[in-house]
Amino acid sequence: MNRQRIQLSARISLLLLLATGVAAAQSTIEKAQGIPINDPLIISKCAGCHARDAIGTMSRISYIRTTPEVWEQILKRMIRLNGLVTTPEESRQILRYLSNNNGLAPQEARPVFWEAEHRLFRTQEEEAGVPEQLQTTCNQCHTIGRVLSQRRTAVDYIKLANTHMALFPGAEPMVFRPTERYAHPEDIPVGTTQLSAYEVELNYPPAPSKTDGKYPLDLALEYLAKNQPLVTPEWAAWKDTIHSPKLAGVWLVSAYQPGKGKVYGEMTVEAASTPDDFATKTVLHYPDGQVVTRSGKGIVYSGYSWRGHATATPSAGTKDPAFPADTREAMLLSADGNTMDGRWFWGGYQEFGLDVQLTRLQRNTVVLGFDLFSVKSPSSSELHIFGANLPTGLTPADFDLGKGVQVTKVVHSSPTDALVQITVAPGLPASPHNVFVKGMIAPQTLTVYDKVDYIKISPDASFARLGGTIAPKQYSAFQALGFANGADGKPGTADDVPLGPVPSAWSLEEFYSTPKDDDVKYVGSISDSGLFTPNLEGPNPNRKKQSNNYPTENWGDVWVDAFYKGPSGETLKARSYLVVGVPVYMHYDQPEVGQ
Amino acid sequence: MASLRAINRKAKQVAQLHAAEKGDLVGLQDPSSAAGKVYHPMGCTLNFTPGWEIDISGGTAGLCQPVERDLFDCYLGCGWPAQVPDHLNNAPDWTDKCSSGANDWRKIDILFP
Repeated sequence: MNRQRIQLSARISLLLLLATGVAAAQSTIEKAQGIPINDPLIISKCAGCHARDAIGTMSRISYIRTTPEVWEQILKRMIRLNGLVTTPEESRQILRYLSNNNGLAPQEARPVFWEAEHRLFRTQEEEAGVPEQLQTTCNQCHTIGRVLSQRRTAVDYIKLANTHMALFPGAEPMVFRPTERYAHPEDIPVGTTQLSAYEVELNYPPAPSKTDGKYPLDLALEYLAKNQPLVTPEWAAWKDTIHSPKLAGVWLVSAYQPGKGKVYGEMTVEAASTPDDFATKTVLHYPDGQVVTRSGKGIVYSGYSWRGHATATPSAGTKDPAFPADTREAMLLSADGNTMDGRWFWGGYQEFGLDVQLTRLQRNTVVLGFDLFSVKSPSSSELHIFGANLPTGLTPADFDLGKGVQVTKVVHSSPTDALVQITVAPGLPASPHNVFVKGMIAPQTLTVYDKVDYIKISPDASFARLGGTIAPKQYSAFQALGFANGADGKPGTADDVPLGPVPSAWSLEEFYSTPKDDDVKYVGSISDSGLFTPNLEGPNPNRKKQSNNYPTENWGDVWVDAFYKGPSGETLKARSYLVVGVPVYMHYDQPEVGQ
Repeated sequence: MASLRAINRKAKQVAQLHAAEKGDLVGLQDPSSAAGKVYHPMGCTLNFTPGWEIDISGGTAGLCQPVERDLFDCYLGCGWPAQVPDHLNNAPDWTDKCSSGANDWRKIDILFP
């Protein structure tokens, strides 16, 4: 008996020793990977809790690499919950140091840059690419961009999950290690058992809460440790080459605002107080003739990632929510330092935005683009071409728009734009045409078509939020896009030719989900240009429904219909699905990164 | 339905419902969407997880009516922490100015933590 006990205790000791050894080995690997933090301000502010060792690694901080937005979020949480005290200037310094020292390589940042760009919509294909392990865990509360833009060690991912469980008691039973009650809510509708006249038991489906004996959290942690490690070849190559880019100069802007069209202009960037700070002045020309002048500032993080903020000079149109009065900017600088692309966004939920491409103005001639998307065969119209250093005194012979499209007259020609009259010959097949000005090709094509065969609404499913009293409204801008069937004459095939936005009439239509809920009467209204404005939030005393006799919100789900009238009187229709929902009461957002 | 024709109002509603189910595009309530699952427009700071903005079927009919009636339960239970302040850590005094969300909803604060 005694001997057995001794053997058992020896075995336990051996196991313990092994376990300690493994943990120590893990800890050693972890230590070796840590990124040293050498900033005196961070050491003085953070080392009280995040101990710094002899080689300069600090607990937690050294084992995370991520975007300025996530670092800002962390910083604000430390101030809100953990007693960190900093001045705004100190916060800016800390944010910059961490975004440069513990940032992402450009190759790591680009695939998830839509997160920094605050894009509301992605395509089905992009969504299908989100790893299943993260969809069932992190993605339940976070946009997946927040998750995909982080790099940590395996141990730090575990600590991150633990932080979630400590802060939010629902995280573990509902998401990480779901109990049957909560697992896979998409499997509902649940069955019911009538126990008595008054009692109904809900039968939740047996929850497949474990896969191969692993909880969703285990699978997510495995995925993250393997696919998003702290140490990557991309970062190793980038971190030593980070420098402050020289951006001062004039940049040509080519942009697109859904619902408004193509926008061209110039942004003048001036150097400011530090090598990573810049002041900006922008002039934008909208297709309806509106000229918007903005001034603002920008900061470059990690040597390539622009965050800015600009306000427009008050002018006509400021009551239009789609007017870029106060915009934030997120752009990526290309490897050669001569182009930037990204999104300038605004609105209560950042639902409005310009997709922008900036090109550094040099001495060479640049053809930026033109105002039209497509022209009908036969027809005649005016084409407004934008560029820089364009030769003056252009003649029709200087333009080549492909077979059957002729420039008949140059109405106006200057170094920055040219207005020309074009005629399109009859009987041309639907196809994109290259546009050449003095032998230089425009980056976009002009599509010639004989007939709009069908239209689609973009986006095909959308979301708006009630607001206007205490919460901001979330608008939703729709646009109708025309298509030609292409050579095979069939819609919905690979050879269909996109024709760009087409003018349409708009209306809302009841979506039959709940009988007699009359959503169309309450959710809001859609303008002639396809901009949906949601109704006010809060209980509406005029709208009592369901069984509890409480007034209910103006929410609902509706079809958005677009009608395109063709030249011979035919009408084409397209539909998009719109949910109008409730406000968000907690905005986890980091506008500070651009200020 | 091909050989049946709706002649009264109720039957017309059934026909409309039937037509809506066979909608011509991918929507939240179309289970036969391309990806084989409901299509969620993506929010920028939060996911479109059924439960806060939409109910489990993808619509709004099954949500608390009105939402202000249930809001403080979410707050106390730390439910929907990406959309609603939580009382445990981030916003312990959120409801101080307003004891009943359904009645005093204009006093509810929107937080930017």
